[in-house]
Amino acid sequence: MKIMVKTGLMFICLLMLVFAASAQTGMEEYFYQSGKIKVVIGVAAIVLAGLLIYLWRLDNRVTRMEKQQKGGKS
Amino acid sequence: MKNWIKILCAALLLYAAVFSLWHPMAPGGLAVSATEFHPGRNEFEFFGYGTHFKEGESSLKVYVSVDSSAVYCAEVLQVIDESRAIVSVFLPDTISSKRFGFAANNNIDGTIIVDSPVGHKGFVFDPGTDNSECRYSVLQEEFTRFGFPYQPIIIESIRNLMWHVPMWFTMFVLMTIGFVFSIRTLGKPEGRVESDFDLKASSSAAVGLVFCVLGLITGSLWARFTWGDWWTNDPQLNGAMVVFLVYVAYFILRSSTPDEEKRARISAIFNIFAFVLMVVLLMVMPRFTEGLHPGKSGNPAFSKYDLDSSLRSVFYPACAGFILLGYWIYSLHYRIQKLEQHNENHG
Repeated sequence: MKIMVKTGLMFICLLMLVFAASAQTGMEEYFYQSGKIKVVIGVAAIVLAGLLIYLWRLDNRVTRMEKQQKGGKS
Repeated sequence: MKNWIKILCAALLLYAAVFSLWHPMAPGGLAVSATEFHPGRNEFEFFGYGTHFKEGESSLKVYVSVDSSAVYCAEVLQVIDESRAIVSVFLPDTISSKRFGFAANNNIDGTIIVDSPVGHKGFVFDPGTDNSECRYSVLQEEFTRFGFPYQPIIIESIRNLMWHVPMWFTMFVLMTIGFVFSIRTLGKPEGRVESDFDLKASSSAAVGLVFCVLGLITGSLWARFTWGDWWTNDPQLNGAMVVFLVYVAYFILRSSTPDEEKRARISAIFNIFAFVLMVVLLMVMPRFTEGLHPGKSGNPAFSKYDLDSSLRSVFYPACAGFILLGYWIYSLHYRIQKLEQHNENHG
């Protein structure tokens, strides 16, 4: 559950990065400018962020196993 | 997993990522500044997108059509830059219809069409009238360049095709893997607790769910700026949401059944139903109802108007790349789960 909250927070942070530039001009204008190319950037960022977060979670599970193994041997 | 698959996956994704953004757009007509036409001289601005009005200024011609039956030549007063030109058109008192259309021709871009609604004032309408003296020719064929097709409203966001759609294809492949292993789980004789098939089924469903979420979020963002809302009542969207919830229920079911043998069998049955539901909701149902997604409602998904060769050259590698990536993540997930299970049983 802790991991879920963490990943959720991380996801929001990454999304904030994408939308950060939009804060000044207003989101509407930001995404409509230059032929909606910003929408593509947003979508690509979401895909990358989502996959990275998922890999992060997998990595955590491996780390946990490694810790268990160390604990078991000593 | 073989190394060459990983290299192929990386190469395909790299190619797709670069060319989905790098590839040029075909020129198109964005809008006209006119809001209302009246008999006599009408001056307005013509906006193109990715056009070469300045470069092809000598050959630039702008036309105003009335319900595609009559065409009036507009005079180009000034070319401001590559995508903006001020033109003026003389309209007679009597015209045949209220529907105006716009087109611009030049030697570089070919014919560009704008279809934006323009009001009218003071005209006499007579369907039989044809007092146009302008000759208009469509230059489309010979000027089609290698570029992503220009679509009004969508414009540059057509590039999302290489990011949003492969998510769903990957989910489909992963859920199919899960479906196959669920059937094989049920085929196992009773008493064999250590079932790899069940682990494989749940791993592929877990990774498939990740791609489902990504597809939903990216689709939502895209919908906001083309259809105007974060969520629309498109049958595809609602179907995808139901599929998402069903697969979430699959994992809730799994976590609520402590006995391994029982969990494997019950969740396998659930997964088979979930897969059938997914096929019905995402592939069958949208074809019987009207929706906003292109290529659906009766037509095959890959109709010739939705995907031209330039889109295909990036879209297919993107799909293959994301499917391989999904499979790669799935195999990682499975191996980790297998190790965890091993540690629990023997640690």
